[in-house]
Amino acid sequence: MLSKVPPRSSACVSDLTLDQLEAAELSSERARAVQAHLAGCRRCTTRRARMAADARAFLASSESAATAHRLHQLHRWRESSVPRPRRTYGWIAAAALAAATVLLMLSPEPSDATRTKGTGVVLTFFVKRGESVSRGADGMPVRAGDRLRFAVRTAHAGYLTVLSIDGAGVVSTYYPTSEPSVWIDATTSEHALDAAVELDDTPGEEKIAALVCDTPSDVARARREIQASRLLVDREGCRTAVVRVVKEPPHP
Amino acid sequence: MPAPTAANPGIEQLYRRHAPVVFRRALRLLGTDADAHEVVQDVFLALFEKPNEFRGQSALTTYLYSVTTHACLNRIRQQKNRSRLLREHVDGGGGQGWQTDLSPDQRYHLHRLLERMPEQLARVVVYVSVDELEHEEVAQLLGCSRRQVGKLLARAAAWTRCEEERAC
Repeated sequence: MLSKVPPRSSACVSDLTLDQLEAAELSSERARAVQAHLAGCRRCTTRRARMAADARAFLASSESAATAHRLHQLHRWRESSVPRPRRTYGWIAAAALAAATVLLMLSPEPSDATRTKGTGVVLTFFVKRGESVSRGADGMPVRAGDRLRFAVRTAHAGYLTVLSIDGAGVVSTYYPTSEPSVWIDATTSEHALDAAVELDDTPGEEKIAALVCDTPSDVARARREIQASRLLVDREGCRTAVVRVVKEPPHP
Repeated sequence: MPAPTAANPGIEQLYRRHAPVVFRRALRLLGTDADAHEVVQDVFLALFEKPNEFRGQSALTTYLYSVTTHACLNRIRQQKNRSRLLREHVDGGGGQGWQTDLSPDQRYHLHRLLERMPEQLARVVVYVSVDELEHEEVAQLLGCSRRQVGKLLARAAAWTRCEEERAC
């Protein structure tokens, strides 16, 4: 049990100084002076011990481990020789890729329905049915088994996630698949996302939203609020673009 | 990116060394483990994504003090947090298992002050009242003179009096 901290004297050092001492950021002279003070001050020694115990407890917490793991994953991704996927369509055959490229070049700008006005985020999608690939449009009819691929353009960088609410009110994360969100730079061209989604047979309208948020915690908060409310509205710290597809009943 | 060394530790080593400091300060300011953990995540992910924002500046500890304060002030100011922080104040919520020096009451009133106070004054109030730093240390964090810190404190006190008079 850590002892209670005695009252402060005018010579006592601040938390900042103790932190700098631990980080070896003090000059040699200053560090010696602080160590000399610690040798004779029960208050500061107790505080230092408490801070060390708190640090160990924090690093042992599951939340800290989760953040450390995420940093590790990002570090590994950056270290890997695989380039950050841009405009790659892993599931499209070469011919279909050429067709999709032509579609991108010739298709008109997405309708205003594929962006939330003023947010600077544009969400577009492509539909693969069999070997055929077509550019999606807001309100487009789709079927179970169709595969969707998304592209995002954003005027402001941030953390991206793509969520959907299907006809049954079920909220799903379409992108990314292995972490809560992914950093996306501001871009004037469409950035193709490296995951495809196969639609299930839940009928009715499905709303798909791209959220670009200022921080990962804004993403987490928005996700919680969407799951609770089933509403894809603008949220503080996030910019949203929404598209809709209408799932047709299964064909006989 | 080169392999981590003592002179150039990787982000994971930096996290182990400095994240507890970020957490401790965020917990003291915000009052809940969840908020403090989110600030830690935000700060270190930003550091990872934009390391150039730190390079060439002061030592990492002073940089992290500054960005942590900024992140906490933003959370206090965000409308969606205000009512939640108020509820937690009423419910007496707080950190579990870590030492926090502010009572829920003190933190509530501090938040009420900080959510409206201009950013620079709010930072000085945090450093002096919450971190209990000397003026010289505050000057180091703000990148200004010690005399300027004194002036900022006087302005903060005047601002607070003005706000209190308006509230009466």
